[in-house]
Amino acid sequence: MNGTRSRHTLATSLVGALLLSRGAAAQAPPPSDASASAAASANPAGDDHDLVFRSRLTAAGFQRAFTPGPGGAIVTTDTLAPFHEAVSLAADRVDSPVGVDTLDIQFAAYGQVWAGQPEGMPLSTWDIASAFLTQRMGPVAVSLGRQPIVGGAARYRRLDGVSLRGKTEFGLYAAAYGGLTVLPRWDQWYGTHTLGDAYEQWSSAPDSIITPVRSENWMGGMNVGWADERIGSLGVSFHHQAENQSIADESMGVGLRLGSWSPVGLVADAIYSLAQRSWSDVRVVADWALSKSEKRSVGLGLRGELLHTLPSALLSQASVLSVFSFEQVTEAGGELDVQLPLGLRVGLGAFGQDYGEGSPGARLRGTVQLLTGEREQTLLRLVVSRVALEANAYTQIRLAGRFPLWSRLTAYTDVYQYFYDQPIKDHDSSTFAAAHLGYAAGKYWSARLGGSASQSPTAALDLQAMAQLTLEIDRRDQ
Amino acid sequence: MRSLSPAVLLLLTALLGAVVFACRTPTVRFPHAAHLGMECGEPGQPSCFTCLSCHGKITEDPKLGHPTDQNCSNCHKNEKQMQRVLAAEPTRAELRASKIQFDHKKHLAMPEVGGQCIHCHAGVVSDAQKPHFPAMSQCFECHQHKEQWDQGTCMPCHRPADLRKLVPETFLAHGPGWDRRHGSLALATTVQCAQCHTAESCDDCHDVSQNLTIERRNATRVDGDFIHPADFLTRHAMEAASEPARCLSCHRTETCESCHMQHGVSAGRIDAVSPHPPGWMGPDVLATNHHGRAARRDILSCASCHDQGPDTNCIDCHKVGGVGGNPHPSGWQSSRTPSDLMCSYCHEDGP
Repeated sequence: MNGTRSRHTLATSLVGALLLSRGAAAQAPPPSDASASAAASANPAGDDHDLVFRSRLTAAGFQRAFTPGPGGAIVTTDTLAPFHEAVSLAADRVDSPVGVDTLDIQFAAYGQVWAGQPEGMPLSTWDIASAFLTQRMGPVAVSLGRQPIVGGAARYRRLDGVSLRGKTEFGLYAAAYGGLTVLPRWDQWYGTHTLGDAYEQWSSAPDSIITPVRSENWMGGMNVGWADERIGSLGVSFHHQAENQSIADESMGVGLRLGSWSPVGLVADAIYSLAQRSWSDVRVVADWALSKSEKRSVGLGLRGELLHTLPSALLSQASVLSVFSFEQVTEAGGELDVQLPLGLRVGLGAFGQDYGEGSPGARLRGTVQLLTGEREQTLLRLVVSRVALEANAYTQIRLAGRFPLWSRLTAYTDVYQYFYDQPIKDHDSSTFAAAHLGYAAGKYWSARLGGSASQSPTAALDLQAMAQLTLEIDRRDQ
Repeated sequence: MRSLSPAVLLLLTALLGAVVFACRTPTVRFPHAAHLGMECGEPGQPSCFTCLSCHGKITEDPKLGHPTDQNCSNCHKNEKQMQRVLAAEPTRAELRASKIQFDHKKHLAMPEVGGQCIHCHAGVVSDAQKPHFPAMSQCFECHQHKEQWDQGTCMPCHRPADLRKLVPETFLAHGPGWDRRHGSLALATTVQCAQCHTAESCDDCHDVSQNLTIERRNATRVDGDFIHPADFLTRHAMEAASEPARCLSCHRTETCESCHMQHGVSAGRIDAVSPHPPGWMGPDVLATNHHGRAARRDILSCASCHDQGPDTNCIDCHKVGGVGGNPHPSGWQSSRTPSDLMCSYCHEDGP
């Protein structure tokens, strides 16, 4: 309950701060200090911050797949009507006591309700995905609240805490962050809305759930570097993460990027695990384009990738399995993208994997896409791909289409067919077909309605329907 | 509906697409090259055209840049054809360019430009391979707007309302493979990312706790290649083995555990049914014991079921004094201290 109360308090504070900001602007009080005076003189009409609000309500109808239960037992059908609501609010360049247009506010949350819930299951859940303020003070910015930390040794993390970053006019930048790890609310899921999702652990063994102590789950890190859009960037980073009194991750990262001067785009990124004393993730991506025509007449793009990974280093280092294996995987390959006249586009890709032990693997892919119509809204896309492994392999054929019917109504179709080299549960293929209608109902509202049907080795027939209603208000459109 | 025919579905989709494609109305485009390349200026010939002959008002207001029928009627008398050309729907490039706040008068007066439209609009007449409208990278060639770029201020070229609706095609182009390298760019370009994306944009894919997959949130994005489309359940083990580290970009091992518990293929369940083939594991160390090789190759798959801390059944055998032997690879070394909790599962005195 403490977590719920703190989330509620955080949300209330942030929304309150935004409303106060707008309210202050509307009332236009007499300036009481120098900064307020500056704000008033710069914005005689009040705070002209950007404000974007979005609400997305998704309702699904679900016919549970006829999958066998444990030991092949018959599973009774559940009838569920899950609703998922996601809201977000972003206000940029809000006036603050520090200065004009210096405060950014972001808030996103979701809620979920399940109708037709079996007895003992939760009826609803909700959480705050992000809620933070960013105050900019010249070249320095500080963010406070629930926020994502991206890039470098951190990869992608979320924390409840503070981050600080700054950049000099010479391109030198530095950032640091610290706070409590945001723990996903796995225990609050029900999760039978999609083929493959299932009851959560607590439904079978609720006693096995360990409630983590928040103070024992924290992270901190920093990154420094130099960046210039024309020349490129070079940076190093450090990330430390604690999990239940143990080290979950302790890594150093280094990143390099060539800027716009180079005809070849190059991004290189490497993470060194201090806990494993080994490179856990190294990736290099280079791309080159012969011509980039906005007429979409002719173009040629080429991309090469090298990825080297030590999978066990990406596990939490608090996991005992992280010290069981040091086998590494190296993947190399590339893609060719050819732009042809009449909106035709052809892509070919091939990647090969080399494992520390065992036979190599490969992924191949070919794409033909036609983008046509006056506004290039009509799309036809054929993708053929193959994944080959030591144990099994499959071939995928996908045909997708987007067809404007009237000015505001668009139809979407998506068909997949899979062929497995080795039958899975005595089935050597799967079929999935989906169709949706999208309707843009004016400036703020949009809706979509559709469904899908599939056959697979794990489902004799799986039917799903979905309706989605989206409201998006962008005050800058006014 | 007992048996869906993939061939029929494919055929219907292709047929629908072909009908839509065939029914589109051909558009007559203005022949710029023919007009600018015609013989002119001599006695008996018409006056020579410049770009500003028809687009003269572009220097006053970008919205007035399109010519009117008065421009045409000086020479042409076919009213119907004139209207057909002038009424043509704007192309995608024209629509996109119309969203840029651009002062033509100011730029034409710059010495580098010298009053010549062709520097930026070469594709209109001189070189068909070049675009009609300049790419954003071309703007940065003359004056880099370095200060605005560093501060993530995209105005006055872009209207704030357009920022979240535009997809960059030259600078930070989100082309094929973008999903595989956007993380590398995020660190150095955070400020630029934030001009179009909020934290919600990241959460849309990375916050897997919402229990609404990205495919379902974006079911109408048929031009996208999402991570686990269609019948992913059947393929997920193969996908995980094909790119072992990719799953951990978003998922923790709890994601796997929750589903495996339901289907009875988890070590954490009393009535679990082993998904492993014969010869997978046995007390006889001389037996086949496939599991060791599989674990070395893909330890993440093992962790998806067997990662319960001190209850992990792997360490029933692979511990000091156990029958499973030393699980650590050759040359094993660790930075952990002897007091580390995890080490104590097997080593009473630490590593």
